[in-house]
Amino acid sequence: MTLHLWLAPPLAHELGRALAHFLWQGALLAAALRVTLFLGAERSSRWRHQAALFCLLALPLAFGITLALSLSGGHSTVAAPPAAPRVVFNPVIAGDAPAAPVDWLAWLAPLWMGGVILFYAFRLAGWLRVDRMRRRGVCAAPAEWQQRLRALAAAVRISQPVVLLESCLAGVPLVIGYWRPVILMPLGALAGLSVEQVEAILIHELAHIRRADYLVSMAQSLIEGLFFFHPAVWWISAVVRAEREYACDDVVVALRPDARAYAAALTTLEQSRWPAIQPAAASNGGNLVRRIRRLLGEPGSAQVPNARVAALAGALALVVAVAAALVAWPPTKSFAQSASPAESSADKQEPAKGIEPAHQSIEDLQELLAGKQKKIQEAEETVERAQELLQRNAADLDRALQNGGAHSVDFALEERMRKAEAALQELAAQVRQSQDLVDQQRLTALLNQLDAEQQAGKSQQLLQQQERALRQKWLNEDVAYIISPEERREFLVLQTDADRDRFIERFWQRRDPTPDTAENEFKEEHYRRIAYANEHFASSVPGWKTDRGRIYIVYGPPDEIEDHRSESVPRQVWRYVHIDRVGYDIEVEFTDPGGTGELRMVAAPASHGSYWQLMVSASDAAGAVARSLRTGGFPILTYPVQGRPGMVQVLVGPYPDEASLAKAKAALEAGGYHPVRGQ
Amino acid sequence: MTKSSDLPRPTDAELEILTVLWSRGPATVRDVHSTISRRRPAHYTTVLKLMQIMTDKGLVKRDEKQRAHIYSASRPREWTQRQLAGDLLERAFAGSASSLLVGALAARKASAAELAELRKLLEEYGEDKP
Repeated sequence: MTLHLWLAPPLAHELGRALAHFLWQGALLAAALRVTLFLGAERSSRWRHQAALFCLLALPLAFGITLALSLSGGHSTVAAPPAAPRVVFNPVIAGDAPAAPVDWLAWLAPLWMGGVILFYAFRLAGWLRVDRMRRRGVCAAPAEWQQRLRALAAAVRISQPVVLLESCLAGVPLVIGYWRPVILMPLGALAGLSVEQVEAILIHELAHIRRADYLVSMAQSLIEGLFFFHPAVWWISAVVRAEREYACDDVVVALRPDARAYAAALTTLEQSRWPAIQPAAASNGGNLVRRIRRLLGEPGSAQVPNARVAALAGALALVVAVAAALVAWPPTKSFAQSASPAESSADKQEPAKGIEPAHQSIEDLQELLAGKQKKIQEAEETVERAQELLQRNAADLDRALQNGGAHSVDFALEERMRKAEAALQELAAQVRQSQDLVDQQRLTALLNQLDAEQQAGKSQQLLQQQERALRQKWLNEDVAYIISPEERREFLVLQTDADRDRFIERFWQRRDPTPDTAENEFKEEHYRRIAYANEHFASSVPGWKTDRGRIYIVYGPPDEIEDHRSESVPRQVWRYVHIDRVGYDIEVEFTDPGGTGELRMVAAPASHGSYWQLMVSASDAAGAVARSLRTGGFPILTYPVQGRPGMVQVLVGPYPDEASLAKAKAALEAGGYHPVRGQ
Repeated sequence: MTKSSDLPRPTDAELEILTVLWSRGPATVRDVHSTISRRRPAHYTTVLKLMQIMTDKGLVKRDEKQRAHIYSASRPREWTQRQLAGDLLERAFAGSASSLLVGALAARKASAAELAELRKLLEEYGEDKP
């Protein structure tokens, strides 16, 4: 009875299912590793070790995911029964229905748990014993060796302090601990080998510390214990161990190239080890021979001799695993469908009701769905019938009690009760089946909801992207000409969108000529100018990007336009009587010598000769300068300097030859100007 | 003279002193103490007392010919190791412990055949590249 309770929770069933699935998963991962190692035969042992370790860590991951999937999939089945019908009718079923078939999957869980606990208990005892070796029967190694170890640790790039001890219990050199690592050398090893050889051995141990192999070994043990029943796991673990040693050997040979001395040291240690740890095993292809072949560069040493056997075993395991999986589940429960609660509860149905045949295609599934809908309708009808029957029975009972118990009524009542019971049993079965359908529908709804949420998330993302693009456009288009370099820098270092929005708001507020009113005349005028520029000056580039667009947006409409667009060289001169903070009498000339259709501002009309350039920065000075020069008879051209509001450039010229150029310069200098030669 | 089989199994503290003696050879109490205190704090008098007890038990021998008494282990380490390894619990968990061990050599001892093969390999390699 207790065992029955143990097996009852669906967790046991799901656990058993995950374990059975693990049979093929483990075999598959091992096969994948086999192939990876085959392909990476030329790679370093470090790489191969990492591949094997990755594979080893994937084992619990695969198991965990399978379990989580089947638990989350089976959850609604677990939660649904107490809802109403099954609890009410359970006693009726328990009385009459034949015993349910044994759920052998659920039996796997307790067996497995027992194994894991036993295994872990042994490993814990082993670990305690190992940890005790740090303290028991040890003494500090001679000081000169500690010193050599420090130098070697630096060479292997280990920063944490490493303690070197001699141990009378360690049969072989060992590393114990990760956070406070200790190297144990068997008594006599330090004296029995040459200094170079001991150093080589120490480098090997230090490499273990550097690679955190002690931790890896612990993790390996945990995983081995969890999947103790799977030979593939043991094989993967053995690969990790072997590659680990190869990798450490590689470190040794990299630092101490005398491979033969190192190999000899290993052999000597092996020979002189005392058999305390474990009695010598029969020749199991011990990997020391392989390692030494590898160290000495023997041909074919890297190849695992029993590779073919391993591959064959892997394939065999795979076949067995797949067969087991097939036997364990009827075809309905293919892996892809195992997450569906409808399928997971299907095997609780009595075989008499028929196990659903394979439904591989969507049409089949739809058919199944339609069938279930029909069944649920039938179930509802039966419920109605049963309720009717029960009501009638109750009424009859009342009457019978009032009549003082007439036998004829009893008989009829009994008959009806039996009918009701049968109907209820049928109902219970149907309800259980329909439960599956409900679960399936719930899952579909859940998936739909998930989809919708995903969609919502996407549109949210899209909105954010659009907002971001708008802000980018604001900076690089809308206010490109009027934002000061300081403001631009300030804006670019802002971190959050909220900050950026606040900045934009303040930007316009600062420029609002009437901050007390709700309207911002400046902003409105600015956007009107952009719109105007885009409408009137667009050519191959948008209007706001053209020179005329830029001047228009920054300085507004000119007071006068001299239009020569119909001439051979299209030309336009804009005159501003006054530009705030720039000056008076500003002339800006645009031409299109190449006939591209876009008028460009004349910054340097090179073809006409050379110019003198004057930069005038004071706001009112520009106008005065321009006026006085013009009245002085100088041909001048004034235009605002791009990107520097408030600066005006005055071009004096053009002068066709050096003589007139020099004369103009003298005249300008006499007037107190300092002209710069322009093109 | 006690028979070898009558020697008591050393305690952990005694084993430590024996280990020092096996490692460094015959030594004075001061030598033993200085080695021990390099690993953990220890009082000289504690070590002295322990070594006196061990002399009484027959675990160590004392040479009183010189002014400073020289102690040495009365049994070779192999003997004590065998004695300790005979522990039932030790044997029960040795296998489990061995798979946790990380070190230059495998937990399993190589067989005689494997050792012979190793020797041969080394010899061949030595001939190729003297």
